[in-house]
Amino acid sequence: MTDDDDFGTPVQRIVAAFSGAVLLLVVWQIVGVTEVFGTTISPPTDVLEVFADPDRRPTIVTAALATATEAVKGFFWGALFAIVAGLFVTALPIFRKGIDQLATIQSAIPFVALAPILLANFDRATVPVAMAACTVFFTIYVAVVQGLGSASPTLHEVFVVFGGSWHSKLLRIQLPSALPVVATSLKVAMPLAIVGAVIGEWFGVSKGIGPVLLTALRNYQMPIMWAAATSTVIVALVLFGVMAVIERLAMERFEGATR
Amino acid sequence: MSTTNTSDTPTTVDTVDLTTPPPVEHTGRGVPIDLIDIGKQFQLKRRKTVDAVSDMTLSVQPGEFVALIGPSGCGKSTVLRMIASLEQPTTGTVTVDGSAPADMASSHRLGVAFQDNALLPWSTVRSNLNLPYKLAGRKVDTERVDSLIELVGLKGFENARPKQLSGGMRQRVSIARSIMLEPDVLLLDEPFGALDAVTRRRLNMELQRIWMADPVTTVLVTHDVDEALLLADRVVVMSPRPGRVRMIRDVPFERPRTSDVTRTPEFHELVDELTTELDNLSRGSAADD
Amino acid sequence: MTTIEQASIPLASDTAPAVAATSTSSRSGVRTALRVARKVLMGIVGVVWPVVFIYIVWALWIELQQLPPAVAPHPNDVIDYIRENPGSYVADALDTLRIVVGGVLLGALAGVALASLSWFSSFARAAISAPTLITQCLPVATLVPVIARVFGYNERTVVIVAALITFFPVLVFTSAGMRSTPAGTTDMFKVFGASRRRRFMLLAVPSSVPRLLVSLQLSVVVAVVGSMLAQWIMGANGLGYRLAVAQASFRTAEAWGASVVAILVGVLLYGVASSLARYARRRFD
Repeated sequence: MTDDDDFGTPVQRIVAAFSGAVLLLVVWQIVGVTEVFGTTISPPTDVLEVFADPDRRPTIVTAALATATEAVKGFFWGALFAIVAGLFVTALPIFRKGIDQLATIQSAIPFVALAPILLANFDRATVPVAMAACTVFFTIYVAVVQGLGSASPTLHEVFVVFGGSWHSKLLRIQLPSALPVVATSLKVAMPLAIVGAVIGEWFGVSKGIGPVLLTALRNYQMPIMWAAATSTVIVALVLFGVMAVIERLAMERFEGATR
Repeated sequence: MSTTNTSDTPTTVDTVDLTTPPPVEHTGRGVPIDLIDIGKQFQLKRRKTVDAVSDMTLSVQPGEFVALIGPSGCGKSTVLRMIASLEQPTTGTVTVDGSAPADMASSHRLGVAFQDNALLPWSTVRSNLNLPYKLAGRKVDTERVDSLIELVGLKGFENARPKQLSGGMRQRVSIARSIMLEPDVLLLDEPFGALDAVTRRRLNMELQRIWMADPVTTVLVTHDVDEALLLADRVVVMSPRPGRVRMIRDVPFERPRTSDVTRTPEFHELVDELTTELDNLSRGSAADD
Repeated sequence: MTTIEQASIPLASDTAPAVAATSTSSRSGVRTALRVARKVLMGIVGVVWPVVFIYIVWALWIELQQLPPAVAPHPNDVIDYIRENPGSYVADALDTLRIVVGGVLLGALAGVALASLSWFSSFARAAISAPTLITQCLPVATLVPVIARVFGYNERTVVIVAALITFFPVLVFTSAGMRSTPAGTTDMFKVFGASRRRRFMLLAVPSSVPRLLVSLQLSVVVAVVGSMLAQWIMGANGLGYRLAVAQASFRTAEAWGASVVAILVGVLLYGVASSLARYARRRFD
């Protein structure tokens, strides 16, 4: 990797990134105000108005928080299942091919086909959580399997020679090797959990940002719709940021175990 | 080829000035390299700096083969990288044929081989050897490529990919590539460092043979004293960080230097002298830590 | 002085396990045959058991829960429907396939273009980083209704959805790939005086191919699922629309059949993408 390609000093980089974000906002504003794509796109100023409005803001904020909670819960369950499945497959490799396939099939199930199944098995309030779990499972599972298998063979051999048991090997070699790539997958999967939660809400419940989005669309209240969309992006960014910090910590501590 | 004899014999006492280049006409081609009082400072995190090299002066004559040796971390690779235009000296000047190294690089007059052979894994041997032409925007001279493939003994492996070659073979490709454009300066940074001793010895002989076919100004960075004495006209010993010239020894042996030379007492004396110096330097720097 | 190393070249053929029995005894021949047969059988079982597993779980779920066919069909009903109407899904599947592949290629093209720009201009790279992060966190699937409103309730929107889903992973992975060149190659190119353009074409681009294909592997299934959603919402051509219509009429066997076909399309594309990714890793790494 050559880092000499990085632009300027860290401060200059932040300024450049900032200007990129600002440019995006400016383009959005222009598109919204000039209505070049029709009146469907509300400019950022309209969105800010909604957030500033004490009557309309609480609906969106409460809804966004509800969705965030569902997403986090679903993320937790999906990650748990993915880790258990990954550990299972690493311990009993004969099941690996089959479980890989099951996971691929599961990831390919369309939301709209999954919804009726989930509705039949969970109560309405839990459907978004279950949907979020389903959305993150595959990404994390793949990373767990890959990560647990990534410890260099030399490390394994060292353990054999020192007479380490399988569970201490798991603890001391495989898990540390797996942590960086799993941490990255957790970060990347977080926004997916939000997607799952919102779509789950469309099919199930009446609370959360999903119904707000749909209702606003149906009633052609575009500023509210865009405010709802912006709130999902903000929620996703915040949660993504938290996971990114965790990923950073995992990288610093555990990167290099595979070499 | 130097005619001065540095071993102690009762019959001749030669006083040799070891800091200026030997008064010998090198028969090779190539251009001079001049390092004048160069220093290189690296920026670490949290405002700390490290002086890799400081107050280093060295002149390499056209056609001369110079080996740079020294303890780990003495900055010898940094010096080579400055000649190669990959780093800029913080102080002092580096000139190659009177111009900046960057100009030499952009005129495609430099050849380089690194310890990690830097072969393109997706290309065949032939394709890798064609690369210097492509990078210089010149038409590929297939005849020369073929002759160099034969020169380094890889005939028959033109269509193999680096993955299929052993480490020694990959380094041969790397070296053939480094001389492909008949550069005016050849820079070698521990090209055999990653190989086993036997292969390294064999490739040293190979390199000598290849170099003698077209002797050009060469700077070799190595930690192997034997290798330096086998190949170089002069051996420059660098001090530990911050690196500077500590000692220079002429290598008195005539070329081609065979394995017989390595068994002579003169050779052993030189090896001992240089190794002792390196040991002292390493111990000294370790004590400072 | 030997000039060619006697060291063995690790060609692929050397590592292929030797299967042929050299012994002339018929007993070892039979044993080998049995071994090979067992391996093949295990291979088939390995691939088939997940499908069987799904069938069993599905059937049990219907029967134990006593679910009426209007809610969820028994797997046998779905199999029957597909068997009796084999060609009906083909047109929709091909439509969806065409649209998804088109969208994925479009998104990949955009991702590669932007990654190339960020390679040439470090300012662009820094500037792009913020919008990239934002759009990575953008839930594309949830914005399908909005996109449909803006670009129209038609096929074009589905293509755009697939492109958007693919764009960001491709951009991120290709950028990373362009920067992870083999050890020493960037320096070597510089010393040989290569221009930036040549460094890009001959070094950065080939270095990026394996990661580019991995990013496609990762996004292709999500693109199928997202496209299905878009078709379902908008009533555009394809499996999604078929699914929506069947669901609305409570023709559950037909609806679930459409889902099964959609899953097959997704799994197929994933298989193609992962084969390509594996090939690229062998060829380019």
